[in-house]
Amino acid sequence: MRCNICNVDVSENTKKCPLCGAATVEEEPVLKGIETAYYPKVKYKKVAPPYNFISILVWFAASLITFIIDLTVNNGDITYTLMVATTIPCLWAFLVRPMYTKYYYFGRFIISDVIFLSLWLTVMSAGIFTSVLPAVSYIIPGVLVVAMLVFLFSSIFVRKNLFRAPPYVILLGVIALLMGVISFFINGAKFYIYSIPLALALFIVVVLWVISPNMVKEELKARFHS
Amino acid sequence: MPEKMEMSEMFKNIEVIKSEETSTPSEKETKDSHWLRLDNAATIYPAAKNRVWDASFRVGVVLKEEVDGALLQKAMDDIFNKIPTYKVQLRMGLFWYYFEKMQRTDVVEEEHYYPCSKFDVIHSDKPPIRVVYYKRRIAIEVFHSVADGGSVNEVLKMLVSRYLQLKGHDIKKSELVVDYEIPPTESEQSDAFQKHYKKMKGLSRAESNAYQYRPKGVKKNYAKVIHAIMPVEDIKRLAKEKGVTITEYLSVVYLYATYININKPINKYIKISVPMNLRPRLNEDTFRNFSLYTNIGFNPKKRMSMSFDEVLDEVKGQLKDGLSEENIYKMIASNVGDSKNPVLKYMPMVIKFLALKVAYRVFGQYKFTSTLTNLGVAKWPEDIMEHIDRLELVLGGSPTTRMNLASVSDGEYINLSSLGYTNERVIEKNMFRFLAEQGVRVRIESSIDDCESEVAENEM
Repeated sequence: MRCNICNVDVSENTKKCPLCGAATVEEEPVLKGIETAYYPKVKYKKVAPPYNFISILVWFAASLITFIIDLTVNNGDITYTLMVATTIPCLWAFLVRPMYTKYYYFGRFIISDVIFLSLWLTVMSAGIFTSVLPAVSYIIPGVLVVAMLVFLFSSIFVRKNLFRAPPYVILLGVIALLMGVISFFINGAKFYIYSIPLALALFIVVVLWVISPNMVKEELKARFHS
Repeated sequence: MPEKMEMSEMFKNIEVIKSEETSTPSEKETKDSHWLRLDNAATIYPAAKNRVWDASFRVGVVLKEEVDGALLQKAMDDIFNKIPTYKVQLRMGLFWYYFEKMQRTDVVEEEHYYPCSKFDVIHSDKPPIRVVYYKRRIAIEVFHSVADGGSVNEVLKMLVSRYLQLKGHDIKKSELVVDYEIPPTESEQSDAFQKHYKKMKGLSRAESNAYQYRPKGVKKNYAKVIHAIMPVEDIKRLAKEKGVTITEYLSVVYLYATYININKPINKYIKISVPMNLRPRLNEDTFRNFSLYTNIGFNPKKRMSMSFDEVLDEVKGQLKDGLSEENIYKMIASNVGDSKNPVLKYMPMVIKFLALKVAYRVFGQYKFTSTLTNLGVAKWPEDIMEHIDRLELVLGGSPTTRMNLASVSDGEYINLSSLGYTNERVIEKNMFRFLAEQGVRVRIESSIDDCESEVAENEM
């Protein structure tokens, strides 16, 4: 087969020239003895919508609208803005995100869940109890402890998480340390409570290190190498 | 969901994991570990990819007989021990990406997606490589962070050689094919860029932006390959007439075909990026990335009717100069030097990712119009060549370069393949019509049988 417009040979049984789209003609090819290497019929890969980008847009738009309402109707009191701005990430992290992502995100899921939940709890505490103290002194340390325990148990029961957990637990420990430092400057906050998640983080890392020193060491090296 | 297990089983498994890891040879630095640092060139590709595209390519062969998938998987299992740097998956660290070594080797599949379709990187426990087969074709597709074309070409030789052996053919060991039975050496797994890094001062990446080809009808989950099979002697004759190499000649034809497609006067460089395999030049045998590129091109300066010879005169010599030894060392110094910069080194990955994304656009993609890679004459042993019909190299595109060209030769024929994300094939049409006018015998094959686009019909 040939395309006489492009002056090229084309594959057997090709009705239109792949270059110009003109009808091909049944003529002896110039290059003889070449057999077509066929491809299968193309199957299209489904492209997922940009869920993360859409989520950020929804969050930004809702927060902006609430902020404008707060400025105009609530005389600049931005409590509702903060509530919306912290509630949407929580709803997304706990309800929407798990529907379209795989379990490989597990570690990062928990870290971001803790951050979003802590922010939401702080804002809600300020709104309901008119003080951030209940959240800062009791609830957030509790959330950190629960998250660390999730990592500990997932390490024990899921083989592949055994060496994956320590970097995440260390990150949670760093969050606990930061929260402890922040709460030190908040009047009346029980900053020393953060010693519990800190100690737990240390305990988990030590336990996993003892169980499998080489793997934990290598995982930490991999995750934190510069 | 991952399986759950009893406590007693867990401790047994720890030992299993340990023994699996320590039995895999690896770099000196991470001999017993389950991870690898990315090589210097590999760091940019995770940032360059987006939701739809990623940097990937395929190197393939068309055999004279139909391929047996099960035997191909067996051959792949055998050679995987020789290439542990392929049995990895990308992971995100605090400061850099890294490779985690994987246990899965089930990378062989019958082809059912379009060539160079997107890989599942980071969020997968399967290596970002694919060995596809369909009828007589075997092709290895790789995410570029893992390896480059020169490396995959060697792996393909190993794979085909082993496959044919398993098929019962008498394939002898040859110097042209790496022996999969010899354990991997340190240099085969090393980052050769680091070895050849020499600190230099006053390096600049300053380069003018290039014309960007924007065809109509780009589809998000679609790629079409056009193979042009041409006798080497025909191209060689033309290149000789003009006093240039085959790569230079094809590059100029590509530039010229792009130029005549622009229907308005432009004062912007039309440039193509030409990668070069550094292994033979710097005497390396790494299976990881070890290639660099140079951008060659010309500025029409609003001239509308430049001839092919005028374009050739402008471009002649650029390839040689761009890939001179001095420039190669400068590029290595610049790339490796950047990764040693303390600000970049200790920047958290979340921020670095965005910085690399911008850097790739600003210092990379916008500096060239498209890419043409020429693997040259791939040297295969005679006893394997008896079973091979032709060789193929296909370079996946990227968000801005809507079309890329790649060529490889078996000594008799050059197979020039173009991958594009649209049905609009005007540049290829210009290119192959021009070559045919010059007396080159061209055979066109397409991954999608008939050109179904109304766009193509309109352009006739």
